[in-house]
Amino acid sequence: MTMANNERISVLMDGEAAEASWLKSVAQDKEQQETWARYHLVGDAMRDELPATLMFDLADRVALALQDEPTILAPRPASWRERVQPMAVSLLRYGGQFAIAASVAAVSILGVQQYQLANNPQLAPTPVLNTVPFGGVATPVSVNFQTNRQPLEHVPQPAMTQEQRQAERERIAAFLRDHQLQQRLHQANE
Amino acid sequence: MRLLTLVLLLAALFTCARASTDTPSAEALLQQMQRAYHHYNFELSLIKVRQGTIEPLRFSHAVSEESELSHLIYLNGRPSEYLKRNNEISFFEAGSDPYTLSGARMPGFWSAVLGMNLEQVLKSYDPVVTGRNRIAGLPVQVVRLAPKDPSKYGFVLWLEQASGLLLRLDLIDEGGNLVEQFMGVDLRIMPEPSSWLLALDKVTLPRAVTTEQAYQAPQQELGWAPGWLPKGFRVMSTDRHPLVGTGEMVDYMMVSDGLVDVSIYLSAPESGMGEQLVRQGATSLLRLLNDHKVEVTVVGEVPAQTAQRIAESLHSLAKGVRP
Repeated sequence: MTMANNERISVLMDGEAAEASWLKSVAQDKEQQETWARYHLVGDAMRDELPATLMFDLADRVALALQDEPTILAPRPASWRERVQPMAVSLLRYGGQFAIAASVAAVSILGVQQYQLANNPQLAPTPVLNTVPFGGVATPVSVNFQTNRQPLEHVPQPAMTQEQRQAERERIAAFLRDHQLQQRLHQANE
Repeated sequence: MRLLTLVLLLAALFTCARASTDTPSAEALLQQMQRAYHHYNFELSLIKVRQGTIEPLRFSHAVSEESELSHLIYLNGRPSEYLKRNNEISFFEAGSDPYTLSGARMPGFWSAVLGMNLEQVLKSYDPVVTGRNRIAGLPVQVVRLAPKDPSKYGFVLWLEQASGLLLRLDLIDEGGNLVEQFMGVDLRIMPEPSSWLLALDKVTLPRAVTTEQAYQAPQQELGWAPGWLPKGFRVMSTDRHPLVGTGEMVDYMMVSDGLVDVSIYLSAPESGMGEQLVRQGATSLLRLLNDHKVEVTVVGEVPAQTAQRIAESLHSLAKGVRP
């Protein structure tokens, strides 16, 4: 099936006509889209038409890094031993808190489990949270978790757009990060 | 006959007393663990398990006449590395500039347990010896730190019998379910400090900055306080500062019981953002809007329902009304 589809993509790129229903299915299939993009990239490379910098699936990667497992984008900064002196200066010059906090950033959102809609039994939280007195109000919002407290003014929360979800993730990350930073700054045992 | 019974009874009592002195108390074992950490040269490979993901780490320690060094490194993927040289800790994390803080704390529960103020912690946790076991091929003694308040997580520590070194650390909830785990898989105790670790003693690190220099938000009174905190928690810090990344100003309070920290934030609500619950290992983040449309966010290594109870207990100090 996949091979056949790949062949059809290849044929399409060569200028042959394709039926509309199949084109529609390609437009909705991420894997097919990637194949499409990859074939064009190969074509560009063979014709020596590649741009100076390639912006691969950057948006996807960022989303991935934010959402889930540590996808490694940056190689180890092998030169930190050489770079350390200027870093200390810049740390002080630009206000320590920001320099420090920025570095906590990378870790914080990884491995975050966000509790999702309770109308999906597969996503039932771990036993730790089974005891949480939260009702599962069904909302079409994947990152939003409603408690069974009465919402203020009894207005249902509107569904979030993609941008709002992204903003929400960043905001959650900012709070987790700040907590980590504060833990580093304050000795528990004084 | 009666005399014989008495003699037997006395003998039995004596043996009991002997037996109880043979097994050190839980508190003594914890003290031994903290002493052992500073005393031995060792390298411990361990795995960190949370929410089904496993990360390998290595924790190393060296002590020489001039200095004491601890080193913690994440072995897979994104490199994170922490070096403690005497009182200064250098943080190396991928994608950002390294820095050194003096008077700071190594991240993670492993270091928190090794550095905890035992006297303070034992005010809100009961230490119990729960038996013997075997970890990383070595016989261990198991000590439980059971929270006196069930709204907190409990800790289970596996301590190597000969040295007293911490080999495994579990966080468990009230029902005994695992929340987060650090499990040693290989311990090497060395008579001399490792040469690579001693070499790190001489390497030039980012210049140390005190926590006060690095973080300049002044301590200040806030117009609110939590009406309820789990047993043993007290206020460590109160200030106002901008959140890094978003820049929004928050009222901030950190409370701690000597082992676990909880951050409480008050902020203006963002449009479209409702209530939220997020969990990252032992860390829960709970956000809610209170009755006065103030957004309360509680982040800490406590169960979600505890975070919620703290968030809902906030009240204004001015007139005794809830904010």
